[in-house]
Amino acid sequence: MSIVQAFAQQSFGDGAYVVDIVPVISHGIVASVTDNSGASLHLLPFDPMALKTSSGNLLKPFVKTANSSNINAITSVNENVVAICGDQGLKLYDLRTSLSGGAAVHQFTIESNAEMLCLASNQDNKIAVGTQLVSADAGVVLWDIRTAKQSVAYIDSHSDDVTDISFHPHDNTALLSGSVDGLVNIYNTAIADEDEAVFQVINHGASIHKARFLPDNRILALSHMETMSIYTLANPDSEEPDVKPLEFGDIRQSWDCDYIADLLLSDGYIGAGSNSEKHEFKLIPFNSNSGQVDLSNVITLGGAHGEEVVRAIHINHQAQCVYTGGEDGIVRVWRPQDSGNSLAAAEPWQNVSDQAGEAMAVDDESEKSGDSATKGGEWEQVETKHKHKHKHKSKDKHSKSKEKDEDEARKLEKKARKEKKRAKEEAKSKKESSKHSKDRKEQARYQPY
Amino acid sequence: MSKITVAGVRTNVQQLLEQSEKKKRNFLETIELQVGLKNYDPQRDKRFSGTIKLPQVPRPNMTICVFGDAVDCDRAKSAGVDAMSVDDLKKLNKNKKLIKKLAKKYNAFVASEVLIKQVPRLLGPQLSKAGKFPTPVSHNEDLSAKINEVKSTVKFQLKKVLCLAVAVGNVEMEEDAIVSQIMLASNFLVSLLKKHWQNVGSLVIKSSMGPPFRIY
Repeated sequence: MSIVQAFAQQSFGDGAYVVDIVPVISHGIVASVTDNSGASLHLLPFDPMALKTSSGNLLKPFVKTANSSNINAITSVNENVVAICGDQGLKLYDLRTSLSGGAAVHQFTIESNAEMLCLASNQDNKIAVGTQLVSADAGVVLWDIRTAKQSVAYIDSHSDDVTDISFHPHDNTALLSGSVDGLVNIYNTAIADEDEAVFQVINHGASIHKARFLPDNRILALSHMETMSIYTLANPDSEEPDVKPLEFGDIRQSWDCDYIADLLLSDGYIGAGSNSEKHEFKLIPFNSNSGQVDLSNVITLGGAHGEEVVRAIHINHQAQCVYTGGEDGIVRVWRPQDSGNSLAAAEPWQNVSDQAGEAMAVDDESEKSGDSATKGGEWEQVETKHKHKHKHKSKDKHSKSKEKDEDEARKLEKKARKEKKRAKEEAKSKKESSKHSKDRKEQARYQPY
Repeated sequence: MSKITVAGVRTNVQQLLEQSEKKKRNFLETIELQVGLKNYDPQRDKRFSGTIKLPQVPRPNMTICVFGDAVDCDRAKSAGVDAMSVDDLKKLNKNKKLIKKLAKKYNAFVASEVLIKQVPRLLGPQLSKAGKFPTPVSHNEDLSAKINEVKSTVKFQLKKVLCLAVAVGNVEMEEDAIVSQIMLASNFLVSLLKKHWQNVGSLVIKSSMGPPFRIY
């Protein structure tokens, strides 16, 4: 088990909640904050040192909603654009103009004016949202960003609020939605007729918090009861019964936590927190391929956000740090004690871009936001660990040609890390033997600045 | 730590049953647990809705229908539960009216594992819309046990008001059973609240027609 310490923090004031933090590759991390006066978006630097030394100007929002309206979900559409949704509909902001006060570049609403609760985008310029239940309809609606037109809308397949939505990582037409009614629906969005479009319905039995596609066409569902299962995509034409779902049950006891904050599948982690008897947050290695968790290599963020719930996590492999946002209105940055290697413990799900936008913003462009705080050598190595799929379409060609080089660079990087790790371990053991055998746990839990 | 005691709950249950005994109703009164929340912002805090599986069925009169293959249709018949085969479902011909009628006729549905993946194709989204998409049952599972499980699973949901209610039993049940179901449901609900008992304003039990009794 490795322990990570708080390195810096930024507070958005009393009564504020940091609801989500999303990396936008060319700019930084966008934090979605709500307080009593409404919701706002703020831009934070990728670089922990810049966050630490910055003064109050980070607190100035670049987007602020009208009084008491809210932002329920946020995702990055490409390296410049974020999409937000809430009771004011779906809005897209281009940070190249929005940071200096520009208005939303796109705005979508639906006839029923239903509040939108969740959203996802894919590489095919589609954006999907899930809405609240209004009269008898809980909707799943798709737009094409290029044409700014609604492409399909399904309103009959859920009987309650749609709480999570996600595209398949490779198949741009496959979409899933999870709802308070306990169902996860899988759609073929190439079909507009709802009767035909619903490919499979999974009855998870409890209100869905998060649902995601996994490799090998499996589906992970996590409920608000903190029960988790992995289901197999059905083949309606086969006579064979499906593979039994892999049931984790109530994971609060087995994983020793109070709640699951988020699934960081592309990073290879599940983020679980405790805020009652003890205060900590854990990154639990999760292998999307095998569906197994590795409880012996958990990364612990000691103290977390105290007795407040952690709402958002972003793992930045480039800067080797973890960002968390909580209901105490604070964004915290965490760095490994023996900097460098703990975050590489798990195997990230490499070839998949992350729909919810939690994917780390490891792109050469984001290098700009870095500064001298990190050693030059490390930057160069880590920089290549880059997800071409996460990029905007127009850049795909460019990134593909680089893919080969990257792979090699990745190998090199791994090697370098291993060596560093060994060196550090040696240094550490020396230190420890010379030092008084102070309780490491206590050391790790010291309070953030 | 639980803030309610078995003894305290029992006294209230006794009073509740007494009241219900005094004025018999023409139907089976359900006992409901009502939770008043505090320091909880339904707009910003985590959604609070879900299900609890109770040891005993709170609403025994729930009607269930099994969508079964040959084996499960037989099992359903011998258990005295209504059943429909694939052919029966095909006969509905995706007719929205007929499917809605079917959805209304029963409180819940259970379907054989092999059949459940065909349900969206056979019936379209109407069952989902009614909130009655079937629960799967495999041949290895005891069908009656599965049906009981479905019957004893109760839903709760926090909407915009800071109050939620969940059925925990009925007035015909044993006092002990009622007490234990209340304890179980309360403690489970509280465990899901982000600050546990600090979020609980009040706990009240009440039969369908009777007065409320505050247990916390």
